Amino acid sequence: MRGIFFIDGIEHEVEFQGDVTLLELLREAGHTDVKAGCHTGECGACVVLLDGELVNSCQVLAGSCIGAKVLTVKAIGDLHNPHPIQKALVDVGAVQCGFCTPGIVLAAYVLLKDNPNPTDDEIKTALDGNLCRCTGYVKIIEGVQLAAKRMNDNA
Amino acid sequence: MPEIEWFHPKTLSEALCSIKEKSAVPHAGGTGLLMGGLKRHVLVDLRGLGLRYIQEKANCYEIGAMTTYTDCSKALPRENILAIALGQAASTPLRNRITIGGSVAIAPMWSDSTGPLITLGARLKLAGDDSRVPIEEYLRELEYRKASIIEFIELPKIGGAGYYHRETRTSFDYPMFTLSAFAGGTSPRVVVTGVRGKFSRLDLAEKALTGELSIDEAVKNIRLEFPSKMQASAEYLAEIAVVEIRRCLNKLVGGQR
Repeated sequence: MRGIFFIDGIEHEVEFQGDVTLLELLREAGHTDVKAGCHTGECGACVVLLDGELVNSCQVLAGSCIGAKVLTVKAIGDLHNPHPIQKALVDVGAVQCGFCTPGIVLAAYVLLKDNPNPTDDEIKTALDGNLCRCTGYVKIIEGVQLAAKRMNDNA
Repeated sequence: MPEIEWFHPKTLSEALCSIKEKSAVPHAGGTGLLMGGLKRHVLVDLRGLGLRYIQEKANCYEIGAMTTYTDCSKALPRENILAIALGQAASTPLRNRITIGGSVAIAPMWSDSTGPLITLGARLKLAGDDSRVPIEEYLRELEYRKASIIEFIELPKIGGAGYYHRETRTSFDYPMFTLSAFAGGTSPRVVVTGVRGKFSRLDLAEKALTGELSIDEAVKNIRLEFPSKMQASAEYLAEIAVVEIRRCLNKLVGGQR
């Protein structure tokens, strides 16, 4: 089957099998920043924004989102032009192996878009679908707080 | 893996026809289908049918079948036990994808929606049929689930105090059981899910809520049959569930926890 997807603002016409997940489709299209972790919707390494909503791309069949807007972490910022969330996570030491980081950046991005001054509990809820096996979560929460502060100071 | 075909209907009647004539499977959020493994050849995408909404009516909330757990937890009153339950289920990205209709149609043992929907007396409107089906009846009668599409759920507005508990090891875990109770109106309800047969109405606990029985009398005679689960034995679950039922009744009857 064929379908059009708007990935990071660019229109892609893709041919794919009916049982392919959005995760598989994205990685096949070169978006390896969308990480393949547990494949069961538990780790959050594969999250993307699908029409503005944070979802586990491993739990979404591509056939169900033809025509949708998909945002990956690459659209938020990159090595040369990092988003304040990415910069803050690095600055507080919240990145070790980095496998979970794209998902955490996107989850924090959605949170801070709707809630510029989140409490610790609100950060924990927003990140409840993202597992990190290296850092624990203290530094990650600190990073989101720092990003919020910097984004508010520059607003 | 069989090849999967997709059908993207423009109307509910087109979707219903494809299910009846081609044995197609409705696709709502898709999380349940992926968990069970894709087996059927034709999936019917319900996304374009306008079924994602919550409409407040005089006596109920009408919840479109494609409404997500996140939508429900944000749009329903904060004290509503369905909003509480769905706001605690799974994780943020999964709550953004799991739909209320898909959850009811699949009704897994660990569902966070089943207990509150039964407790609050929800009714289902199935596509192509103007009547309303009480959710308990839908869940008990397999016939309803064959070749049907849930169009929306009517959740009665009833005043009173509610209680919801999900027994897990960590917040992300599938619940080993859930306990839902509602002590408003003329017929209080107490429902446990995760038991053999998926759910159980607790008559004795309901009598404690109306004052027909004392809490002690009710609780000492409650017998629950759980299957053994990966997280705990059947005996442990039966014992711990009764502890939670007592807490629930104490809170609703005596205002204490």
